[in-house]
Amino acid sequence: MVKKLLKYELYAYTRTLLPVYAILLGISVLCRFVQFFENDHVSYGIVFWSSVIALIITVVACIGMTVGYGIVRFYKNLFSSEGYLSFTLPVTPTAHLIAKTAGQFIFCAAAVAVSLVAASIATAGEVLVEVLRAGFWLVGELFEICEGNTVFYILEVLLLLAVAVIYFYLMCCACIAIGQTAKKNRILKAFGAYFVWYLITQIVGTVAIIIFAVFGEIGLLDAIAQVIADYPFAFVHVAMVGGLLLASAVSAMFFFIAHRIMSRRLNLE
Amino acid sequence: MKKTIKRLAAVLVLLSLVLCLAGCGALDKKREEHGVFAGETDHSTITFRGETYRSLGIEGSEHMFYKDYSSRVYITTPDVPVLLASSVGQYGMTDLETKFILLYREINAVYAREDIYEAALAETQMEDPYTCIRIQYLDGENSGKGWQYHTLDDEEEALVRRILAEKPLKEGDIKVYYGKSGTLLFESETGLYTDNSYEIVEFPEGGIAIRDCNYYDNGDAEYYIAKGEDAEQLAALLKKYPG
Repeated sequence: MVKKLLKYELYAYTRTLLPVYAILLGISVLCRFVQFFENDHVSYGIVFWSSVIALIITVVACIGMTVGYGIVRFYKNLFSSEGYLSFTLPVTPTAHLIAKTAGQFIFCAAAVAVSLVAASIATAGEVLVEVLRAGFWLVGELFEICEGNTVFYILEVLLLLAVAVIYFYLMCCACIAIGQTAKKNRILKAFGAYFVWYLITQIVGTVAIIIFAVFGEIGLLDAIAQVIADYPFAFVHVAMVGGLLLASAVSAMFFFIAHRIMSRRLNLE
Repeated sequence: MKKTIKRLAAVLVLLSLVLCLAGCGALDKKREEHGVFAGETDHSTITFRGETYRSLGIEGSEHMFYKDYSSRVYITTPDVPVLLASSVGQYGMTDLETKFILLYREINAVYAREDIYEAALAETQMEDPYTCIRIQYLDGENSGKGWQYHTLDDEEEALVRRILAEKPLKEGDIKVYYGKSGTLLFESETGLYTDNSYEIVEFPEGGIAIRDCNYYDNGDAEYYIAKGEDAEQLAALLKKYPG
């Protein structure tokens, strides 16, 4: 059932976002086309940099729209009048959440991929070749410094990015789910839930800094610094895996909150 | 939908191939600034703009070409891409005619182009390598061109050397306020060594001298006063080539 839900999610995303991606690619072609007329005149500089700025803005807008559309779609599909239809389907709230999260993740990845294609088009030719050479050289340097750890670092970073997308989306879903428990001003309550979460993270961060300061006073920080100096590669692994586990745990918490509200405290408009 | 996507993809691929034909001025500029060592640890030669430069075995000094107009270069090992040359490369300078490359950060060395290498190497052994003198001036009618240079002929050069052979007066011995001036450039044959520490200065109350600015930082500039016919000829030279 999740597959069918996912299929319709992807259809909805494609219908809305495909024109945006087409516009992005069109602007990248325009940006590259402008470079055919390269010269030292001020007017060329103005046109060229305008096209580059337009491309950057479109990339940001593309990714922003992808994320925004996913969140809006979650709200409309499950908590507005459409929710009456969605919840009559023979599908559990878990399936709904998984399908929506997977759809958002796939299209965030697609938005990034399209942005990279747009950047490649805008630099097509010698510049792209040189950019790729520079990229491969940097990776080569990283391999020389970190040796076998490099592959795992790259995997960990990719996983972290993936979990970050899922974390953000599930956080928004949980806030929206909390918001819809209100009788009035549901969206305002959703923002309130987000604000409360933000406060909690800030308090936890401050407490962590205080603990570090105490560690510093009793010399524990020096010991930690020594361990980092002795085992730098292992420390990076620990930090990244630790971050992954923490983000995954918090994402699971958001999933649970949204699931709980959807199954026990549904309050459609 | 699938057909549309396929057609769109085909158009994009075709466009990309066509667009690849356009060059990039910024990349060409970076390539012009990028040179390459012979090897990872072999810094005896540099390849720059298709030419080979060999190390002269000396370090950069105050009186090298870089006092004149020069442009920057970044020298890297062969594997470094041109886009990263300015980040990881050795920073240096080359003169206007790209005869020399001077590196003066982590590596301090001077390189000469292959065709003038032997002559430049000989100059590094000379006590006085300066074989020609030029005067820097502004062409009044075409001042938009910037600084111009006139190479002194044998008579004019003899005049300057005659004046410089006299005993100079120190800054404390004479009034240092002067009006018109013109910079003299002493150069070696290849241009490796340049010394622009000398100026022709004309005093408002009368009199003309060549000022040695080598001691200027200590406040002890020296003045070689021109006398008699030498003074007239020097004044005429300055009038013809005003600074």
